Amino acid sequence: MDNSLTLLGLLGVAPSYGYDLKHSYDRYFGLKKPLAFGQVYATLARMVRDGFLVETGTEAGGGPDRRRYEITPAGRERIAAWMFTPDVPSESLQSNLFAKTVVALLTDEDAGHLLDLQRAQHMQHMRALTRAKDGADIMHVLLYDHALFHIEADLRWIDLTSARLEAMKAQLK
Amino acid sequence: MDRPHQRPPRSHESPTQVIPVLSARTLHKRFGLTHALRGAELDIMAGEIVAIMGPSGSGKSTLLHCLAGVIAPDEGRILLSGSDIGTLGEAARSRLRLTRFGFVFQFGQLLPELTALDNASLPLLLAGKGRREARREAAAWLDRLGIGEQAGKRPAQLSGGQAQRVAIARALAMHPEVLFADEPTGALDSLSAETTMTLMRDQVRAAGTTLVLITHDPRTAAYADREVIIRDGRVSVDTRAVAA
Amino acid sequence: MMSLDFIRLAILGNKSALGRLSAIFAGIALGTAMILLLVGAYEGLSTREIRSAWIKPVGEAVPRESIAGGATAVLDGLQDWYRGSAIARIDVYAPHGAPVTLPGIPAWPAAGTFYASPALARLIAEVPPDLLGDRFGTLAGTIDPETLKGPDVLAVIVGQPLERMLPRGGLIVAATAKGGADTESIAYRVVAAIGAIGMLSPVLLFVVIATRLGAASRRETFSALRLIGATPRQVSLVAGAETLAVSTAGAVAGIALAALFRPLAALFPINGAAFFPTDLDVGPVPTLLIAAGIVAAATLVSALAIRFSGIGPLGASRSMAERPARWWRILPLLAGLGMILAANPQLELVPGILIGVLLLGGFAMVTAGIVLIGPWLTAWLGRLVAVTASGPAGIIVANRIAQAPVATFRAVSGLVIAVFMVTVFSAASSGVASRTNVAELPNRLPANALVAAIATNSPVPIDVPGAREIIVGYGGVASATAQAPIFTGAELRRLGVIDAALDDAGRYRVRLEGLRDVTGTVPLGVTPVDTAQTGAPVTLVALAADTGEALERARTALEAGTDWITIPATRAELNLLGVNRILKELAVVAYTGAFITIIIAGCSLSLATLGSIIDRRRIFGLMRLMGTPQPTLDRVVFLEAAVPLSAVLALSAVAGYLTAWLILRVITDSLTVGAPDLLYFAFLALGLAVALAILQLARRAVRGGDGDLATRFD
Repeated sequence: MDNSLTLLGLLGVAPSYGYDLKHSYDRYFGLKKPLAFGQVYATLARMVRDGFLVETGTEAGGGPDRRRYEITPAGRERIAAWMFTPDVPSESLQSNLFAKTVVALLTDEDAGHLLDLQRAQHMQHMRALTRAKDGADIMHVLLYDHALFHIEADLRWIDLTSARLEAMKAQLK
Repeated sequence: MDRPHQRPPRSHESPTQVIPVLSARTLHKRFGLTHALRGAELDIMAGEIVAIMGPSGSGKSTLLHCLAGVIAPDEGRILLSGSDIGTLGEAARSRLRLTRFGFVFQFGQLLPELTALDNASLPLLLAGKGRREARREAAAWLDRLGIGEQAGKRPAQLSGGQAQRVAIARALAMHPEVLFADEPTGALDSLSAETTMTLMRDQVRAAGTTLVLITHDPRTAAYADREVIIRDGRVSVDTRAVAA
Repeated sequence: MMSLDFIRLAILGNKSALGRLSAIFAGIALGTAMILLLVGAYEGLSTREIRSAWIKPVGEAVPRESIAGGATAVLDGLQDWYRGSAIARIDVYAPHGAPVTLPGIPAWPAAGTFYASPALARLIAEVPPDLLGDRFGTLAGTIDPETLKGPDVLAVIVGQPLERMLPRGGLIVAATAKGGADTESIAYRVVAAIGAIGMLSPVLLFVVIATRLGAASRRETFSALRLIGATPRQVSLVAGAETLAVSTAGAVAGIALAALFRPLAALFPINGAAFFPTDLDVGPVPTLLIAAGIVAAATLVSALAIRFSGIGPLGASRSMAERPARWWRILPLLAGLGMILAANPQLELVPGILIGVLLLGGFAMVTAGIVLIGPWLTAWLGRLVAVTASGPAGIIVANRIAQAPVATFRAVSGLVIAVFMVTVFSAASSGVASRTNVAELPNRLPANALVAAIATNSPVPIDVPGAREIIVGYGGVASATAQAPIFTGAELRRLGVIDAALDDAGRYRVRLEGLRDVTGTVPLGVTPVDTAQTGAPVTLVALAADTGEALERARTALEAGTDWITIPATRAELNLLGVNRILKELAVVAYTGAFITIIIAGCSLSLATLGSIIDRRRIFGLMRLMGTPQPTLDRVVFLEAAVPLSAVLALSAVAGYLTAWLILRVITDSLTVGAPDLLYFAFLALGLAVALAILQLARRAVRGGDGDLATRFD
């Protein structure tokens, strides 16, 4: 899962202090493993350097947790590109897709559409794999079948999540 | 309605025919209070394999039935190679289904009283061919699909996969332009499903037949060139084929 | 267009349908046999009537001079009786050499001899001569049975000397004699036609049910055919072709069955006689036409049923519900009753020739009307059940009725029609019974009284064997005649007149017509006679010792020993001429017919119930799988027959009564329906028992049905 983009996405909802940002993140995504403060600050600093964020104020006491960050137009573009670019099937796809979905719901973007895009991408991969099975030797067929079943699992999750968007939205608010 | 002379096999990459073989425009269909199709639109090119997917109740079966001339829409047009078939009478639509379409449905829809061979030869007999010739052609199809030895068995004595192959043989016996399959792998296990789909795909590719396929199973849909997603009686996603 | 091979395939491929096809075969065979026999009976009635009409001759009246001169042969057509059985009798005087103009006899019987029908000859030989044989004289030979109505007809042609014939009235010139246009016969034909329709209706229903057996299970097959492109017409062709083959075989079997049962059917007496089996034979050409008609009808029913049952390419999944039963279904019944009402000659609404047509048409329409109204009433009752049902069985049945009232009713339609028919027959014959069992009425001749008008110079016996007393009535003075003789007051009392004002020794004139009346409405016209003159004996009344053998002994003695002008007869016998006799015999046939009708109706119900269970065996199997207890399923089967039956039973009984009343009013203005008798209720009970027995069998069929769970479906 891409932490930096997720943090940027959360800042796209509203400007926030570093400290509050980390807690937000943990609340939505930190189920298994909460994010370390150091990682958060390093990521935020890098994104300021890249021009996606600006610091807009500091509270007395001066550490990074007391700094206020705000997203820039460049940052917003980066988020949109991230959300609406489908991922290649991989191990980390699900957590990525989950993050994108949550961010889209929070920012009132079309979560259903991004899921559709991902689905179409998956189908394309499946088509390619299926075509590849034609005339392949049995060992390769087994390999392709394995990949196909994984992609299918993703697709089933996508279908289910698509059907649950309304419920998710209600709970996130 | 005479069907055109049999076409040479086409590659799936770039259909060169300009007019779609099947076209649906603003289709509406109601069953009592249920509004099954609400302005569905679709184009299918000759030789394509199209998968129609969607949640249950989305109207995909209704769309297929309209395209296949099984039922007539309340509003909208269905064009087969440019001619409107939505307004045809019952007898004309029956003729259409017999000579230009083929059907493979989830449960085969075979006649339980007849043998595999007789089932496969039914369309030929309906069209007026003599019994001997019909049986000969049907037997050839059964062989082509690898179930020549089951010719004398009745559907109850066949496995699901074998029964589906008989259905495919029957569907292809009249060299249709379009083959319609509604959840053809729905009742099959993974291997039978794969065998069935491979067979269907190979056969339609070889003959240049268009295949319109309804399925909720992604691995089955993966045999298609493109998928179309239906939601609430409308086509919501329609991806054109991307060359491999 | 479509190859014969396809049809052949569809038929021959049907090994699994053997049970269904056998049932259709049996149904058509039975139906054909019944129809052939019924039509044969209807035709046979008129055939033999024409053939034997000579036994009641009509012709030119004889001028007095010719009789006196003894130059022409003369006939007197009479009705004799023996122990309640009528004997058709012709007395004849033939001068020597007169040509024989009656069929059936080789020569005129000489005076004192007679020709008898074979049945009568046997009877005469069996009983003591003083009871019967002595009336006629010496047996000269047998009447050719082929000229008679039936094998059991009692008929006699008696030779008489001229002197005995002279005083009689109504003599006919033998040379002009021909068969009487038996107007009874026309009423007969109408009544017989009604009976035929009555028995035909359940048969037709049975055939329809048999033809439609297993129609629902064919749904799958037919919808698959439609999907792959068979036109509705092609599918109808398949259904029709199959029915054509089976029904042709059935019709042939039916023809054989009819031939087999003809001798049995011939035993039933109608219109005075049983049948010669050959009279019931319709003949080869009509037989083939009738059989062909049945085959055509069955094939048409089958093809049309498929055509209009809405089987489409998606037949199995989206079954077309029946169109709801509408109120117009009530109209044919009302129209039919109206037609019968209009046929009443007293209303003078239609010319005479149309009466029979209206009557028959109306009756047919009432019958059809009851079948039509059934689903409508069933639907209503079904709605009531839906509202009040508490258990699952009631809910299931209510829903089935709501969806398919016609199919639900069809199963019990045979029984409903049977009840209707039984009610009509029973009501009509109970009306007759009240007439033919001539009740002892006050101021009427007692049952043991034989009355005869005698010729002027006739011997007047004082003592007659078998008679307790002979009472002589006098005429020739004070306007007294043989039809209005003079008796003393005491004698009148012995003749049954109860009038305290009668003076024992006084003389009174009385109308014979009143004394022998059975309605109780004809006045006696007792008038005191004031002249001292006695007059001549004109009437004899013999009071027999009993109404059995003694009565016959007395009758024989009177017939042989007096010169009677009207043949000695009792009050009951004098009134059993005409319509009454028709209906009395109809009662016998009616109950046999009712019995057969109920059996057929039972077969219809069983076929239909079994058929519907087989059609829905998948559903029943699934229900059992779900754990539905057997009693619930039993209740479903029971209720599906009980509800439609209850809905219509009362109507059909009432309609039956109404119809019988209306029909009787048309045929005769002197009869009316009576209250239902025990036999009627016995028949109803039989019908219900048959229905229950069948439903029991059906329950067993449901029980045994799980082995056949639809496997491929899931």
